[in-house]
Amino acid sequence: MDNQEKTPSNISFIDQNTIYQIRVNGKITSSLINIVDGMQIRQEAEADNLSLIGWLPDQSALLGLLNGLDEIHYEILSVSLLPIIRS
Amino acid sequence: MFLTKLKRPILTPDLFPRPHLLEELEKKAYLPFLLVSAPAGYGKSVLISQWLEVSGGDYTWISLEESMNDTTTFLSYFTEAIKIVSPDEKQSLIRLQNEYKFLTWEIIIEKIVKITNKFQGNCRLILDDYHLIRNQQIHELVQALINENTGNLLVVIITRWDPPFTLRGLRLYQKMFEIRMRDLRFQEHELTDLLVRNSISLSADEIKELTVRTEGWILAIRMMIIAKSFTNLVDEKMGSEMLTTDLDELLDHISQNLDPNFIRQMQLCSLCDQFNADLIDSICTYAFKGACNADIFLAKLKDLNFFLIPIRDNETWYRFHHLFGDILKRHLEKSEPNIIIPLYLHISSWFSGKGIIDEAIRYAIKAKNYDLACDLISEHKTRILDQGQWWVVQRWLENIPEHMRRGNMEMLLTELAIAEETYSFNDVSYILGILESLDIENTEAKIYSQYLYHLGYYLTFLNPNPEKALEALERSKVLYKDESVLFGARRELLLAIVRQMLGKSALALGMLDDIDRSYKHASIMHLRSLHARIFVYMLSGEFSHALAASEKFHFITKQVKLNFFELNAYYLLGNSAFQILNIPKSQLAFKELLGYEGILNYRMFFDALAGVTILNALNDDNKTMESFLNVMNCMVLKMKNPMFQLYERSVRARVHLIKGQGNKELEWAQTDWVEQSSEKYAFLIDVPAFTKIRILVNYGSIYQVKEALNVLADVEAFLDNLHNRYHTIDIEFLKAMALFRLGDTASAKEFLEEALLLAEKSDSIRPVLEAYKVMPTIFNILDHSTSYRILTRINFVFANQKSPVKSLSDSNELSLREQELIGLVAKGFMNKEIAEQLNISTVTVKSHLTNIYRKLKVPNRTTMLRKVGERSALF
Repeated sequence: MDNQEKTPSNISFIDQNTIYQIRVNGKITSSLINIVDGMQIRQEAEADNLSLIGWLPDQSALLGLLNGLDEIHYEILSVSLLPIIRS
Repeated sequence: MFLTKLKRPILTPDLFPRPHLLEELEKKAYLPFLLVSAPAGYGKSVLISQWLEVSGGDYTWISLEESMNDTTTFLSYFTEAIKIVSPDEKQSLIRLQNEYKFLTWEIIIEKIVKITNKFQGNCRLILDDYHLIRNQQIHELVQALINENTGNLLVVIITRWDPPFTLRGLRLYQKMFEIRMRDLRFQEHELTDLLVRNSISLSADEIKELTVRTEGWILAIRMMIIAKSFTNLVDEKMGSEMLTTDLDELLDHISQNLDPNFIRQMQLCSLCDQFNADLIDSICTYAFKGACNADIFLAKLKDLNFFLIPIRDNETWYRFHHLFGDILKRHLEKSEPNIIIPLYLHISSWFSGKGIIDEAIRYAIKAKNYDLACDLISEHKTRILDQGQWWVVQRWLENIPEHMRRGNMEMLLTELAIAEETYSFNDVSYILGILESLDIENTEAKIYSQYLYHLGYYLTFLNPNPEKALEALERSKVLYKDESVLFGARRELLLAIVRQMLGKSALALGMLDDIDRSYKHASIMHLRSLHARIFVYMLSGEFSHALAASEKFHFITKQVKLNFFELNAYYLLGNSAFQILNIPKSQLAFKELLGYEGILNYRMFFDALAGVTILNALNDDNKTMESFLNVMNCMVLKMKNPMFQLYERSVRARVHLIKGQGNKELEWAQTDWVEQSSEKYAFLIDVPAFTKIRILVNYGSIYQVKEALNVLADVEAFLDNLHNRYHTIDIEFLKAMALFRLGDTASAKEFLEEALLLAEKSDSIRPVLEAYKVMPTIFNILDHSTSYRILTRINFVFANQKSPVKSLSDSNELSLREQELIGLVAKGFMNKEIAEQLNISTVTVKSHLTNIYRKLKVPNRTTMLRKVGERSALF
């Protein structure tokens, strides 16, 4: 982890509740279910790609999740924020 | 071990109070879990430290490190930390480190949870820098502690990112409290207060801008305040260059205003994760003569409030704030890259000089000098291993990459010693193989001598070849004199055993007498000699002598209070008393051992349990016997090694056999029973392969009984070859029983008399009683006069007086003839053919079949064959 990642930037969602979509390559396993801790897991049309969607309190939580996925050897394809439409 | 890692940072007086957070923490302290998750520099550790100071009460703190990802290392620090809040559990905590090798992780977790359940009042366990942990076992332990929710333990995790726990459930059921970045960041009003406290005046707009730019990041704010404090005199307005969150840039700016010598001194110190005045002076004497004295340096740092964190250890140890330390280190790497490795080596030698070996090894490895790390291990291993703390050396070894250990003879020898200590026998032969390939013969005498000792160990216990073992051990002794617990003294023990194995017991005992005369009473060499003497007697089957020697050994070991020897004394005492059927002595010794689970070698511990269970079975105390079987059963579930399941199964089968229910065990006994070659008989009370023979001799089919005789002959030849007499009487009895079942009464009588004669000679009553319990009818073939004395000792009642023996025909057991008959029916022979083969009349065949139908409760031939098939019993 280099210093850049440790250093908070000016992005405003850094410490806010946000819904993330994380795309990974791999199959649904019990270790994945343990790591994602309640996020939704969706199988993408493309073989072996999964989409994890869910709420995370801030970027420390996001970082924890990404590290966890890395630990269990899931390739992370993309991380994106999902817009929240306020009614 | 470096106990500074178990101290929390202490607070500096100028710390900015955050009452609203402290109040929240106090309110939620009843929960089992507190997560403080935010990036570096948000004041996480300081906040928790502040809270501990304000609220008081018990707590224990671990500053985690990368190296603690190794479970052995983690356990060492963890148990040390728990000891602080639970000193009464000291012994169980030390034991855990040994148990970790043998017990499953679930059981270790269970044991730790049990200890934490005993905490008095509310205790907090703080795991700082938890983001460094990647070890799943540690995660499991921490989650178990949280889920246990005992009400007297709060787990506090301080981390830069969330741990891989299932937090959703904990959040949902409100079992955790979180402090996150948004809670920790400085608010505008807090920033205003802070500036006032530091006598820095900024306009409202500047404060606003500072808040926005830093996003409340405390570390950046503090850096800016420091930078500002230098520029205050020159420029009243804050320069725009200072409104940056690039810490490197800020530090550069600060550096311009400070004495370059001071900055360099800081950079050099930043190579240490923790430092004290002595270490600073040592570093500067080595690398920076122009530096100021450590006390002045520290005073200056404190004065500037320069990210120096004192660690609570009489305030003598300090560290830089992690992030700040990283920047300093980076700057040093840029400006003086060549100083770093020599300085790490210097720090390593400083720690080594202070006897803090873990740290000395760690810094040697930071300097990428694995040779030095190996030298450090070699230098200090004997002292630690002699104290029985193999796990400490193991912890050191884990720091050296495996491919390096494989090429280093000293490391391999260390691993061998640990493998022997932990009974990892496969490792022993594997490592010996590697050493052999390294041309060990042509190395220095001490190393080759140690190799020969380990080779001797292997050839004595694991792959017995006493001639070669003796050669190796004697050569080892000639090459290098040594009197340490683990090497020299144990070498004498091996030498005595090997001589006994070569049939030279008298010589072995004579040499031990010499040692007794040459060494001080109760010295290590003297104790080992006493120990060896018992081994010689046990293996020679001289149990009365073994008992007397064990009692002497026990008496002396109790005085010197050496746990290892004392426990061995109990085992040997119990074992020899078991053989001569001194029930009270044997029970007492074995029961004494039960309190030392995890200290005594588990195989011995288990054998002691086997001994006490079998004794109670022989003594007809079924209740106690059952309770010990249960203890054994519970223990098996905890063990990593599946062999213990077999050991337990064997004892269960043996007591069933003693209780006349051996037929229940036939199915178990029939599996892989002929394969005996790999069995370790030594002087173990219960050997599973041998128990299988016991069952088959008594309940096997005619073919199996015949085969059992062959197997017994092989076992006897194998043990004879090693002069192992521990099992001789049992073997003689089994041979008699087998022949008796085969109808060869005359030969059976011969073996029976031989067995009784031997039993009387060596006072071994237990095998006689066991044989009597298992097959009482066999004793009816003896004459009145034969071996009367010994038989009366077990209250034997002769057949013509009052026979306790049930007639076989009354029971539902199939006789050997009947089994043979079923075998022929199964092969498709008609009654007439069977009669011809067995040389009997068809009437007799029919009569046998009628009896078989009655015993098996079947109406006809077909059902009989099906039932026999279902039992998968004998044919």
